[in-house]
Amino acid sequence: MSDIIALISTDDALCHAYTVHGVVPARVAMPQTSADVSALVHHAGQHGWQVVAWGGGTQQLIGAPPTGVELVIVTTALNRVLQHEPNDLTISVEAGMTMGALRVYLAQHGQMLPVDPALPDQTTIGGMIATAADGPRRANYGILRDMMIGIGVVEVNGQPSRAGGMVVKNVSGFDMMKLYHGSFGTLAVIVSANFKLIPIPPVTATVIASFAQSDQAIDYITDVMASQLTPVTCELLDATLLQRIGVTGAWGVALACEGPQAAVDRHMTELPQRAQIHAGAPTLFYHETHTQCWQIIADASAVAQLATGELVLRWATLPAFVGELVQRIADLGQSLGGNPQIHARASIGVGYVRVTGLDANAQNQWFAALPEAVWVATSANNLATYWHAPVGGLDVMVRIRDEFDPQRRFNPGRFVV
Amino acid sequence: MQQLAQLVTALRAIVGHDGVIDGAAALLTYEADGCVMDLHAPNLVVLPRSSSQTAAVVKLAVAAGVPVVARGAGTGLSGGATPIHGGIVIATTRMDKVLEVDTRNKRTLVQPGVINWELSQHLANYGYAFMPDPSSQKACTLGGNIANNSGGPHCLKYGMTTNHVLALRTVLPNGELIWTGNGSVDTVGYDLAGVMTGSEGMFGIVTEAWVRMTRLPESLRVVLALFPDIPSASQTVSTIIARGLLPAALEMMDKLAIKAVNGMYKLGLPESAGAALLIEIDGVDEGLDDLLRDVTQICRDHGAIEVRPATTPAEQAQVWAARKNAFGAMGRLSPSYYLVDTVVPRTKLPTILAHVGDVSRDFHLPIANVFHAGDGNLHPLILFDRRDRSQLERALGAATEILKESVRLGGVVSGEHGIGVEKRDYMDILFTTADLAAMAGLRRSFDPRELFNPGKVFPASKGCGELAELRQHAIAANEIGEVPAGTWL
Repeated sequence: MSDIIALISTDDALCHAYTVHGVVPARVAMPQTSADVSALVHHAGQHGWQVVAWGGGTQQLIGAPPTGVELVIVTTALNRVLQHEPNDLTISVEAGMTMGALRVYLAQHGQMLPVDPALPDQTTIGGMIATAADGPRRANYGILRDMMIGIGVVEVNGQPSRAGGMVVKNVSGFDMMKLYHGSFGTLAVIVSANFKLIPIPPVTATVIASFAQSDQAIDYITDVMASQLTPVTCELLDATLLQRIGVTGAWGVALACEGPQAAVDRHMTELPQRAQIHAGAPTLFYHETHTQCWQIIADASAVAQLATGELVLRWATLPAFVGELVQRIADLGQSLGGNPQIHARASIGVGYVRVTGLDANAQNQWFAALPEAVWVATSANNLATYWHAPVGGLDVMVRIRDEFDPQRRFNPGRFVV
Repeated sequence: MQQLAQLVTALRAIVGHDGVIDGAAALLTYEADGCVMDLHAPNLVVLPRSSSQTAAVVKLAVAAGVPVVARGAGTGLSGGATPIHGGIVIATTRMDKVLEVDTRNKRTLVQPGVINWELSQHLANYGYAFMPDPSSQKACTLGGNIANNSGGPHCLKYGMTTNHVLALRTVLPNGELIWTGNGSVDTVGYDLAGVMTGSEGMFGIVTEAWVRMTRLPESLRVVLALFPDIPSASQTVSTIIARGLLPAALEMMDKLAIKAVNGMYKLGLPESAGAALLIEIDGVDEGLDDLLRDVTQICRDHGAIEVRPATTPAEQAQVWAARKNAFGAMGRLSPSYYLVDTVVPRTKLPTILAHVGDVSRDFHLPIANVFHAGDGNLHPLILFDRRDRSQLERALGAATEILKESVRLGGVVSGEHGIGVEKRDYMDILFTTADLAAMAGLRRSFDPRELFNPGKVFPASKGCGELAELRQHAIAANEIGEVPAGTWL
């Protein structure tokens, strides 16, 4: 146990560096192994400490500020590949590994985990699981939820447990991976996860079509979705984001294509043609410019640091309502201010809006006016509520929390339950 | 008995006279699903027509403290729909409507009794499909697919049922009727649809579901490759996966299976072939022929005797029919079979198949193999005569051997059929007490009285209630129990 105490620091500067959504923790610990995490959580239990797990710290501003933080557990030293049999196309990694490091590792084997979050060099796998992080390629591949085949966690008493396995198809026991995914650190500390992988496609390229009006862009998206073309992304971009990529226009639609040369060539011919039908101006991106523009788009949803008065909302709706919602967001900008910046994974109906320069009252109004918001990120702690009510099942969610964290010591007050 | 009579009267007030089955002979139909190792008839079968009727039935059942078991078509192979503690079976037979096809949002609203095949036939009119396609798809229902997180050949590329569920309307074990979401891809709170999918009827009864529709591919190619033996076919599978060619399906049949389907489907396959691979690739037309050439070359490099493309839709349908109905064709070889569902890491296929061959020899029972090779998901079919007690015992022994070897090779005990009663006592080969206790805790959140499908998934020796209590105590006392070994923690 003395080892564990040596891992815990009360250094003032260090504690401030790990401020959780405005709350300075009493202690910070840097475990080196999952066994350390187990011992730390167990130790915290003995003292009744509230615990927050911290990966890259890129998503700590999502949701409500915690009601108290006695111990931050930083997982970044848990950054190893635990098991990788390249020909099985599966991998097991520790939760503190960053997406960027995993990407570099897998690229040596010609493989990938096809999720492209904001700030990949800081964002950890554990943090992505906890916050259900997504990226543009969610349109085709989904998110970690859809690729996670196993998980290792430390429960609130320090007990390690696992679920799933290292096979790509598995119904042996309940799908605990789905339980922990998107649970915002309220049920357990995630220490490892297993994924199925896919090979890096031989060819990739991008079409960005710019439009004068949003309904032209929406019509184009509808047209592409109804076709048998298979772009792996379908992002609706506003003028600000377009400009950052070096394209002019009021609205843009960014479509990435991946696959064999002939299939990508077909997309790179037909997608621009279809854009022109809807009065769009296509620009084609290959190689480095393809990679660069997608990192810009992925980073547009970053919430690692937010200015005072800045608010980011992730929303979800049906794909058919994206056009209408985008219009409503623009109208809200008119009435509530904040100069909204919008982008959407339009084919699946998920998007982000970033607004700046708002006072507390306007922030609250923004959140209330968007019942489609699945979460809100803000640097301030002056919102009246941070979560909309779930569609259903709140009671059973509370009972789940009661079973997994009866004393509410994991990220207390942060989440919807 | 009087209590039962009162219950019947109350249930008939909800679902009508013919919505309750209570005749002893009729109840026998419901004493098992496709797994006939454990039998138990229910006290009653109820056939609700709607979500609200289902909720009302559940409220009555739980008030009476009677177990509730959901049942679709009863095609499950792990005893998931067998009411091993009696009680009420709620059969979804009368909730069989496709309520909405929403092409703009690529989703469809279905009742749980809709048959998987009929849904895809219906959606094909719009140019879409529901991708999970279990071999039982001509009979199995969407509700059953959701309860078991069912798979099928096309899961290799398109994922399991869980990847296709958007939102569930569910009657929880307290009778509460909830929607887990509104059909958009993100929801607020814990992922209830995610944990309910594959929960084997223990977390609730699905009464409506929004599921994804997938656009039918523009083009596809199917090829049947014949190999001299299992190892050469297995190596081909490993190479195709490792080379990243991402087929839509990659299925294998061994010599015995080829013999069975050959007779039934007149495929004219050479009986000298030791294994056949059925490979499908799909996507936009451009590039598919290049991909097909690569696949064909890999087959030849690994010693394929013959590579037959199925070019016309009729030929493709014939090849697929042979694969999907292979289990039925086994009737030509043996009076009964025990279909074992297990998964290994894909590179371990040659090893496990060699082991299956050894088990066949050691237990003196023929074993055919028809399976989802691309996923590493094995389906050894142990052929036996269940009237012969010694053969039955040997069949069970052979299955145990194969499952233990799968786990030893880094695999698991079920890939797509579920645990049910059949595999519950294998769960503690795979998982520690702590792993199972976390699952028990989750189950208890939904069903503290364990009335929904009791006796399933958890080992008979470590029941769900016992595990959940152990865990609650450990959490309250801040105690750590057994720490699992293994490389990925």
